[in-house]
Order: sequence, then C-alpha cells, then structure tokens
Amino acid sequence: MKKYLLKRVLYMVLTLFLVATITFFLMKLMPGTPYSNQEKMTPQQIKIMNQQYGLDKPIWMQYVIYIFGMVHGDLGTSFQFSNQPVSYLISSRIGASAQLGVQAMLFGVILGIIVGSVAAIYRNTWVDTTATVLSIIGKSVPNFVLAVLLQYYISLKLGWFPIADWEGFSYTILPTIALGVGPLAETARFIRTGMVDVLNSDYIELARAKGMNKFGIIYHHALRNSLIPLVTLIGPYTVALMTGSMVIENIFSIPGIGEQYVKSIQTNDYPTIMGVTMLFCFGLVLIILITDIIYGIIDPRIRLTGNED
Amino acid sequence: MAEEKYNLQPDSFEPLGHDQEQEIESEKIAAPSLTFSQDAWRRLKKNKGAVISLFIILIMVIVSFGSTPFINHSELVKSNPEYANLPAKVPGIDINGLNGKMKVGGEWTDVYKENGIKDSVHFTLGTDYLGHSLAQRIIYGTKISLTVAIVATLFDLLIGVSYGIVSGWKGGRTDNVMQRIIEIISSIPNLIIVVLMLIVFKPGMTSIILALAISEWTTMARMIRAETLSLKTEEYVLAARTLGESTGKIAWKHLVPNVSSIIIIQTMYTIPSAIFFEAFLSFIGIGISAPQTSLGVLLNDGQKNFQFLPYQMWYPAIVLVILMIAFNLLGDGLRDAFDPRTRR
Amino acid sequence: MGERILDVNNLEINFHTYAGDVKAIRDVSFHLDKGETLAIVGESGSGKSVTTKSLMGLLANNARVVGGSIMYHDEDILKKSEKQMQDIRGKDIAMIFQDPMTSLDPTMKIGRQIAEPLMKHKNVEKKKALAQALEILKLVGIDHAEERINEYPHQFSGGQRQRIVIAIALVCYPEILIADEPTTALDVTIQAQILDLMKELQQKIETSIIFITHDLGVVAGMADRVAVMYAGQIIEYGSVDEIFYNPQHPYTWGLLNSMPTLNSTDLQAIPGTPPDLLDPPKGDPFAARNPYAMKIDEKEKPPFFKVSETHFASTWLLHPDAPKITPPDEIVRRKKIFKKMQANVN
Ligand SMILES: Nc1ncnc2c1ncn2[C@@H]1O[C@H](COP(=O)(O)OP(=O)(O)OP(=O)(O)O)[C@@H](O)[C@H]1O
Ligand SMILES: [Mg+2]
Repeated sequence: MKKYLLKRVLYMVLTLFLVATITFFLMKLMPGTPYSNQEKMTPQQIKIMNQQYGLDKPIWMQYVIYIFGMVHGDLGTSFQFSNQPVSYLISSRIGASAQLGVQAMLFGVILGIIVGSVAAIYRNTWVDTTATVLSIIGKSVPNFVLAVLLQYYISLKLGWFPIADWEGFSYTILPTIALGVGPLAETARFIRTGMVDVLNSDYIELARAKGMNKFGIIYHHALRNSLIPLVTLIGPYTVALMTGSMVIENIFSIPGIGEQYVKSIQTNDYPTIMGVTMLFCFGLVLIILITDIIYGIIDPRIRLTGNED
Repeated sequence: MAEEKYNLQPDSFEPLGHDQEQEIESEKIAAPSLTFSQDAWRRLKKNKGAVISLFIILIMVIVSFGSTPFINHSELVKSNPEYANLPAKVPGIDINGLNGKMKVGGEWTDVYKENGIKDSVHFTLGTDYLGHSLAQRIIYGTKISLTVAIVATLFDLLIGVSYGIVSGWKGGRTDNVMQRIIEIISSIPNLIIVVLMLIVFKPGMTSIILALAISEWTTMARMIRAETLSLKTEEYVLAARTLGESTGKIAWKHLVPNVSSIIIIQTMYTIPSAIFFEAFLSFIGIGISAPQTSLGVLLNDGQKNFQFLPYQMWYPAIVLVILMIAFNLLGDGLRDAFDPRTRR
Repeated sequence: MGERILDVNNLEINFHTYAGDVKAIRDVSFHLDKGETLAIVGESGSGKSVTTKSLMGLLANNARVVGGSIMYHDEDILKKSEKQMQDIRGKDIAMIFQDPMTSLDPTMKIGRQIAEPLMKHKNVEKKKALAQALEILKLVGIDHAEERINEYPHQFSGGQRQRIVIAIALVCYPEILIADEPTTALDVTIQAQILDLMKELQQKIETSIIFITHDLGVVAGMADRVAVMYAGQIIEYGSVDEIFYNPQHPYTWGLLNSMPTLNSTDLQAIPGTPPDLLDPPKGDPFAARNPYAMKIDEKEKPPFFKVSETHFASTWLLHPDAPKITPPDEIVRRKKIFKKMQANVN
C-alpha cells in the first residue's frame, strides 16, 4: 500500500513537472510581451517592465525561476492585472469555482444514481423509457445552451432565481443545474447499465433463493455492487466540470477560475494561463489519486499492492 | 394399454429408417449461419432509434455537404444591413413566428412589412444581425462542424488504433513505456491540451482539428490495446504467427477486422464529443470565430441577442442537439448490435 | 422411504419470446419423498433448471405456468403469492447454483452472506446469526473458520466457495435442497469432495435432495432415484439400479453409452440435436435422433409403460406389439449385470 502510494505520488509529480515544462516553453514561443497597454509605453518603460517580470533574463534562467517559484506556490505575476500575483488571483477566485463544482457534482451524481437505479429496477417499463430518453437528451444538450435557456426562461421570464452574479445560495442554483446535467445523464446511464447487469447476476439470484425481499436485495446487494464502479467516473466528471465552468461562469458572471481562464486566454495573459493550467492539472491528478484509493478501499476485490503493475 | 386411444396402424411399429441426407438437412436448418457483421447489422436494423438516427445523420451530411455549390461563403460573410434580424418567413404558412411576424413589445408585428421589404423576399429561418440567411448559415455551419468532428475523429482513430495495436502486439517493455505515456497524457485534462494548442496555433479549423485529435486518442488506444492483447493469444493468430506471416499482414488480416467493432462504436462516440468541443470553443470565443461559420459561432452570435431575437439561437441549437442525439443514439445502437450481451 | 413431501403433477411451462412461445416444460410429473435423493439428468436445454426454478418460484419474467401443480405438503406452490414464497425460499426449500465463482456477492463478507437467511427467516439477531454461520462454516469444512468468516468471496478457491454456497443453503436446515449442477464448474477431485460433503450433510441435516446434472456418472453414488429428461419431458424414471442396469428408453441408452466406464472401449455421443421447443414435434421428441424409431414415433407421443413398481419409461419399444430389438452392446452388458443383481436379491 505504502509502496503503491509512493509510486503514484511520484507519477503525479512527474506529470505536473512535464506539464509545467511544456506549458512554459510553449508560452515562451508566443510572440510579443503582451502588457495590457503596451502601445502607450515607451521602450524605456517596456524595459523596466521586462526587468520587473524577469523577462530580461535568459530563458533557461526564467524556467528555473518559474519552476522554483511554483514549488513554493509562486506562480508569477499577471500581465493583465498589473502587480497582481497569479496565486492571489487564483486563491481569490477558487472558492466560487469549487463551490459550483462540488454542488454540480453532488447534484448530478446523487440524482443520477436515483434515476439510474429506478430505471434498472423498472426496466422495460415506461419509467425506464422515460429515464433513458431524458438521459440521452441530457447527454446531448450542451451545457452552455442549457445555461442560456435556463437563464432566460427561468430567471428573466419567470423571475424565480437571480439572473447572474454570485451573492448567495439562490445565485448558485441555475449554474449548478446547467453544469450538473451532464454528469447526471452520464451517471444515470452508467448506473442503469451496471444495475441491470447486477440484477441479472447469479448472486442476486442466490439472494432471491434465500427468500430475501425486493427491497433487501436492492439495498444490501444490488446498490453497493453497482455504485462502486461509479467512483472511476469522478475523474472524467472533474474534467467535464472544469471545462463546463469556463462557459457557465461566463454566462452567469460568476467570479471563478473558469471565467478567469477564458479572460486570460483572450488577453494573452500568459502567467495566468500557466497558473490556471497547473491548477487544473493538479486538481485532476489529485482527484484521480484519491478516487483510486477510495476504489481500493470500498471494493474488496482490489488490493492496492506495490507489485501491481 | 389403450390401443383405441392411440390409433395404432398395422405398420405403426415398422422402423422409420433415417437416411443420412435427412439428418444433414436437419442440421443445416438447425444452425442458420450469419456472419458476425451481418448479424450485427440485422440487430441494428431492429433498433428503431438507431435507424432513424442513421437517416438523420445521412440527411444532415448530404444536405450540408451537398450545399457546397449553392452556398457561397464569400456571399455569406457580406453584410446586408437592410435585411438584418428578420424573423422566419415561409411562404404559404400562417403561423405566428414563421410568417414574418415577431413579437415586438408584446404585439405580433410583421417585421418584413415594417422594414419595407419586397413581398418576394423571404427567409425560411430568418436572418442574423448582418442580414445573412440563417438557414444558409446553419447549413454551412453544420458542414464546418461536421468536417471538424469527422476529420478530428479520423486522426484520432489513426493515432489511437496504430498506437493501441503496436502497444498490445509488442508487449513487454515497449508496451509498458507506451502505457506510461498514455497514463501521463490522460491525467492532463483534454481541455488544457486543446487550449494550449489553440494558443500556439491561431484559432481556426486546422488547429481545432489538431487539438481534438491529439487530446482524444488515448481512449481509443487503450481499448484497441486491450483487444489486441487478448487476440494475440487466440489460436488462429498464433497459427498465423508460427506460419511466419509478417506482423503487418497479420495486423491487417486478423486484428483490424476483429477490432473493427470497437473502432466503429468508439468513432460514433468520439464524433459527438468533437462536435461538442468545437461548439464549446467557438462559443467562448477561442475556437472558430466570425466571419467564419460553425454551429458554435452561430450559437455565440445568437446568444448575444437571445433576449430579443430568441430564434437566432434556437435554430442552430436545435440542429446541434438533434445532431448530438442522433450520434449518441446511433452509438448506443451500434454498441448493442455488436455486443449482444449489453442488449436488454 | 419416508412420507411424500413434494408432488409435481403435469407441469407445463412456456416462455414468451419474440420468436414465439418456447414450450420448455411439457407435462412433467415427479415426486420426492422425505430423506431421499432424486437425480434429474438430461442434456443441456432439456428443462432441468426451469423445473427446479419453478419449485422455488424463481421463474424468469417471461415464463408462464400453463398447467399443472406443485404440491408441497398438500399446498400448491404455484398458487402462493410472492410474499408467501419468500417465506418458503431459503427456509424450507433451498438451492445451490452451478457456478460458485459468481454465486456469492463479491462485496459482502461471507459470514454476513451465510447469516442472511437466518436473520430473514428465524428472526435471529445479527450477532447470533453470525455465530451460527460460523458453526455451519465449520460443518462444511472450511479451515480456520473464525478468521475466514470475515473474508470476501474472492479470497476463497472455487471448491471453498461452493462449500460456502452449500453453507448458505443449509443454514436454515431446509426440508428440500435443490442442487443445480453443483459440481459442473469444479475440477474432478474437488467434485468428489463436494459430493461427499453433500452426502454427509444430508445425513446430519435430514434433508431431501433434488440433484440436477447432465452427467450420469455423478449420479450413481449420489441418488436413490433418477429421472431422465429430454426436450422438456421426463422420458424415463426409476431407481438408480433400474436406470443404470435396466434402462428402457433409447435416449437413456445413449446417455449411458456416452458415459465413460472402466469397460467401455469407445464413447459415443448421441448424434443430432434436440428438437426446437418453439415448435416441438407431435410424437416422440427423440424420434429424429433415435436409430430404433418406428412410424408410430412420429405420430403419437408414447405413454409411460410400467417396467416395475418403481420404473417407468415413455417409449413405444415397450409396447407389446413392438418388434424385439437388440440394444447397443454396452446396454446388453448392463442388463446382464441387472439380471445377476436380481438373482442375488431373490
Ligand atoms: N427466460 C427464458 N426465455 C426463453 N427461453 C428460456 C428461458 N429460460 C429457459 N429457456 C429455455 O428453456 C429450455 C430449458 O432450459 P433450462 O435452463 O431448463 O435447461 P437445462 O436443462 O437446465 O440446461 P443446462 O444443462 O444447460 O443448464 C431451453 O430450451 C431454454 O432455451
Ligand atoms: Mg441448467
């Protein structure tokens, strides 16, 4: 177990290091030094700015400084918001994004489990058909289209929720739904397939032969067996939520990381792009590691051993 | 015993005398042989959703690509301010919303009349803010979106399949290293690869295609590798190897046909995800951008005026969603057809 | 033999499928006495599992019982509600399945899995149930049961798992134990161990066993009586000796012929395939594969002809008017042994 963890953490660090390196050199390939008001600056000023950002040093030196800084949590300074450290930009915005992400994940996964299991238990009835149709639609409607529709019809027309901004729980509801529908549909499909498999399995038949009732069978045997593999989807969901946050935060004017990322890309704010990129990578790698560990704990068949390949 | 009941004839107890031919005949009937792909095709045809989806996709492909001679892109980017923001008008139909009328300040008003547009002019799906026919833009946009998705998927397939086969076939150390590489790549969110690629190359079709291809192939590679690994130990492949057939020939003759179901299914799932990604990138303004056209661009344009001219977003959104549903349903149908075990 | 506890009469079961109704069980009757072991043998698809599942009330959703009755202590199981059946299952009638590798819930400790029927049927609280589970686990021969009771199925071998499945089935001391090919998935040495275990436990627990198999070889040491099934019908039944040494139905001959014995030189599989149960033949279902078939076999289903008080077979060859034919060598050899056995008895 210890050995396995150590190996995984090592891989994690290696991945992050590779991404940091690649990102750094890609950014260096980019033309120009895009300060927000470069045209108005004299060459003298640019020189001072370059000095300030360390851009006058040779590239390898900048690289060493960057990596060294990153290890210590220093991600450089934003080009766009003068003198704002990227780490500060991120930390002031991560709260909203994290809340939105966690809410959307919980909303999608919990509702998806319910919908999927009900569909499996009543398979080949109208309940199942409805759930299947809804999950296909949920999977097919892009979250940004849904977000625009929700915002217009629910907030603007019906006035049930605030249109935009991030000032309280009621502000989070529509973005959570828009972001969570994808995972919901995916979870429902996944759980349905898994549960139908489980319900057809020999050990469910044996449970019936023991004289257990339907509820006992579902609760004690079917649910646990079909829920365990869901853990493997948390990683992909995280990616989907990160992607989705870029557009959902934009539509609902949420001061989060995703919105910041889009802005930075549009304004060529390289330090911020690199910072957020590293943050996303770190988040994903960490979550994959955590879910792998959880999977090993809740599924007795999987043993985390050092000699596993 | 009850002889009457059984209606015994004098010859009842004569031997029946089976002849050889009869037996062979009956065995033939007992085992109607269908090849695997025929069987899959037969199952697919039974799946109504999948068949309808296939038709919808075919129609969309034919219409969007067939329109090439008729829809001139240079014309599509010219602005005609006098026709700007007209609602849909279909001659002969008198349903509010499709007859040139639009709700303005709570009243249905004929926008065509108000703007003094000649009776002969009509736009089936209305126009956008520059006065382009929305119908034409949607058809053209669908073509671009489909092109991006299909070409990206082809690249993805090419990389994924060859990587998977090589990794699975070589095995040992090569496989190990190749799998580690995949592991690292897949722990980088797709989004980041795409964004980085778009920053390095200029946003546009080519860079989106490249970005999508590079970020999506790992799933395919993994599945193909797993299949190759298990096929490698199958007897007919072993036999071919001992007979000294070259690896390339074996791969072509035995592996590719056997992994083809995986390829087909996976392709059907990759295309909608590529369509989504293109729309997503264009929507947030880092993908294809106006005056170029794609479904994502149209959605982005439409969203800006959604409050006042909702049709400008609804129409491309509907097309996009139908396309996504069709590909997803076809993918599900193919998966069920190729793998009868998943059918329930 | 003891009192009669189970009486199946003219059972008929269809399965509704897209292709039409599969007539899986056609007019099946048999009985089971207290303490005895009845073996049901037959090829794959002959309807053995369907028969036993109907005893448990565990038929698939598309199954329909078209006729017949299953009298268990003078009450018809087929007329019972699902709720009433739940009280019978696992308590009075228990079942062992074919594949021990998939019969156990992979995510539940085996102790809990064994204890479950007790908690359900005997209202035993969890702690006590686990204590009883431990006892039965020792009884079925799992070493270090105290520790292993907290382990998961994947930590056990196939043979051990089948022992655990047997423990689950026997934990409530059921009156009837149905074993559906309990050893098919195991290798030969383990097979023998499991069979011995079942015989031993039958003595201790005083249960009746319905033993399903397609392998006549397994039957000899296990069963008191044997019923041979073909294409959804029972075509011959009798005591073990009668079926093994005085078989009457050509299908039984075929089964015996395809069974390896010390003396047999060549094994012969029965040629051809069973009939399509979507549209079963009118007469004797075995006629198409029967080298001794007669014209009547194509027209009329043979009734059961009595061979002895306990032995019946459904073949026209037993009709007084039927020509005398010579069975295969192996069967002739067996019949000779039977004659000797009878002479010894007398
Ligand atoms: N759910 C079902 N739907 C349709 N047909 C079924 C179903 N279950 C069983 N059958 C059919 O009923 C017949 C008897 O099946 P059964 O499982 O009892 O065979 P078996 O004698 O147990 O064979 P095996 O030795 O392979 O277990 C078969 O022809 C089978 O195809
Ligand atoms: Mg069976």
